[in-house]
Amino acid sequence: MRVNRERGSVLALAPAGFLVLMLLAALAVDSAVTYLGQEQLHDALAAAANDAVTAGLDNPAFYRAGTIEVDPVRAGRTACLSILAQDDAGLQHLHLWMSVNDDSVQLQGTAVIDGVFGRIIPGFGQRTVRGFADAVVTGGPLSATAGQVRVEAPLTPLDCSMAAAGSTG
Amino acid sequence: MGGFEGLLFGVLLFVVGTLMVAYAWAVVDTKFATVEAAKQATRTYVEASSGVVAAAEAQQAADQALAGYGRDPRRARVAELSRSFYRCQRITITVSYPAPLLVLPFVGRVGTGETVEAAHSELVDPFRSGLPGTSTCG
Repeated sequence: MRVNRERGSVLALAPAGFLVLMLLAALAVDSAVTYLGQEQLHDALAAAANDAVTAGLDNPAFYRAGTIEVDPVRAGRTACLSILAQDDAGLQHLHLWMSVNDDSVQLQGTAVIDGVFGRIIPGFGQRTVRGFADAVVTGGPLSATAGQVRVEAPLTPLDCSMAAAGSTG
Repeated sequence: MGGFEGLLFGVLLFVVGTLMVAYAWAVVDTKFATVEAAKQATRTYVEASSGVVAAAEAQQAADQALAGYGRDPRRARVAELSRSFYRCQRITITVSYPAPLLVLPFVGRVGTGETVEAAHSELVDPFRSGLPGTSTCG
């Protein structure tokens, strides 16, 4: 007489199966959090580049001669203040690089995002995201610089510690 | 009865784990909606034709963004940190929305969990048209 000795073995596998399912769901949530962080970083960089390229314009040159010249110091300070104003607590260890040309500002940034479930597993708790934004100021579609190929300055690290110390509004 | 403990443990793991993941997902999903609403509202505010209509248009933009994410705009709170409207003025808009406690298939969002908040900040363009005066950024 044949005896079935495998009854009940599926019960032992059920918790393991559920655990794998939970891990996959947790991975999906953490991936969504990372994507959200990347979107926030990009939004912050885009807003900062847009603010920097207009607020960084040299007023006397523009109002007297109509010349478009971006002041690197003022553009950098504006970019820092803009990034700080976003108040994105989820973006940690934010590092910025900026390049200023005559009529444009490029911003690049990296930030570290904390996972929701990944922090339980050592080495999987944090992910680094990168973002890039480019803003060009023109006098309109028929301006002299529109459509021209520009020689872009290299990206240099942007130190926002001074702006952070002096930002009150 | 040998596998009963295993089955019980599996069911508990499944129920508790699913609730945790579902709630985390609901919060992340709400954060996506509020981030987008804050961005659209701020962009609309700084590009408004005048300070009189800026707040109303920003509120409308936030409502539309939230509705696009399937949220009820009436439950949202849209706050502007500055009501001034002149060149170089920094405008920061914060959107808050209560995350659902649970999202169930065929039932929808159930309960109210943590309030999720997102902010976005931009300058009113110093060289834009429609505003008196000159750039004051410097």
